[in-house]
Amino acid sequence: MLLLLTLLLLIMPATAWAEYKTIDEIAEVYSVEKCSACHGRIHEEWFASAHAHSVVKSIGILRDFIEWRLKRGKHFDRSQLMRCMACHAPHLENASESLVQEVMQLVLTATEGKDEAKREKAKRSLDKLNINCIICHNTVAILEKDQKGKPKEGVYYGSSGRSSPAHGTEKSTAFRSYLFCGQCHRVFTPPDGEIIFCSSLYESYQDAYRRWGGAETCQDCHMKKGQRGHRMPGSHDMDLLKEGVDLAVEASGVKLQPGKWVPTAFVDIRLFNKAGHRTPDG
Amino acid sequence: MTAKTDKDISILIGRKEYLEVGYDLDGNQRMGSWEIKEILDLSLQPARETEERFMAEMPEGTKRADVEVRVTMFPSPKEEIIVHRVIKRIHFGVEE
Repeated sequence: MLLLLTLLLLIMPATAWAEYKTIDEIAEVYSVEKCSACHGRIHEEWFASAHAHSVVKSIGILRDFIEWRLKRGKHFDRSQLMRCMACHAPHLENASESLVQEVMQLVLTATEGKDEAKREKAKRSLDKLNINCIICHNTVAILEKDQKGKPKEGVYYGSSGRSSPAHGTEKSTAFRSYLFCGQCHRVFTPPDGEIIFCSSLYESYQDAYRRWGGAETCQDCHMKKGQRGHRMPGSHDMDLLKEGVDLAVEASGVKLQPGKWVPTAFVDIRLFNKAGHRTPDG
Repeated sequence: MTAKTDKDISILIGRKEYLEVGYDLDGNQRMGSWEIKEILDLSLQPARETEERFMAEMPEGTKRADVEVRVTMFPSPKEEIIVHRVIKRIHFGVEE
């Protein structure tokens, strides 16, 4: 018995690394049900956001990417899945290869399956993978990991750092910075260096809006204004679109070509993009 | 942008699209984000005004027309949101 125990200790890696084998396992670890007990209003806002459905709302392009690889006989493993999921579901970084294959199949079933019940079931499974409280307020909460270290387990970071009896808290200035949103809403470079041009909002914000003197952050427009909160609406929201683009129209009628007097309309249109980034993007 | 004359004739005055065109390193336009490596930025720029001018002939004898300008956002090919809709009435000659 003693000899066997020694052998086991020699085999185990110095740091244990857990792989998630099922979506339900991930959903359990990253469950935000407890968050909603105290942060009910925020939870409700978040659930109405695109973040809460970050995989399902992008399922069409995910399917296209998977099919593109499969049709060319290319393999599809975790590194390929993470080209998309590094932003859409970062917890899949720790998915087992079998779970990766399962997620791939679920995306295909959810978009192409002929059986509507199976399609909906696949979507419900995938909807458990999302950008939730734990992802933002812990996993990606620290922007200066090299200087300040990684996020601590069980500690939730926020802009105020107010203490809570329910869990550890710490203040993080990251939440007031546009770079916080820019972690994902930008051109993505996976470990192999081949860029994914999903969004270039951050680049447009930094290189155009800020360059021309703009000072509002993503949080100012997408959270604070109109009490949008954790709903963080984007291009599908009418109020935000109206607020983001101003239209002025001048029109006049003249009869041109002496002798012929052709009635001709002249229309002058001015569009002012008040958003902090190009419109449209992506 | 369309105009409707006093004789109920509809005329298309013009259309302008603002978008990003993504393409690969061979210069082929691509839709998949994993294939796009460069872009042509034809979008509305932040904190900037964009002016467009249009001119369109109306049918002979038109005395007035209602010009309608619509700004439409397409977050996806299947989704259409009319953000702004403005109608201006124009007259050709003295208003009767």
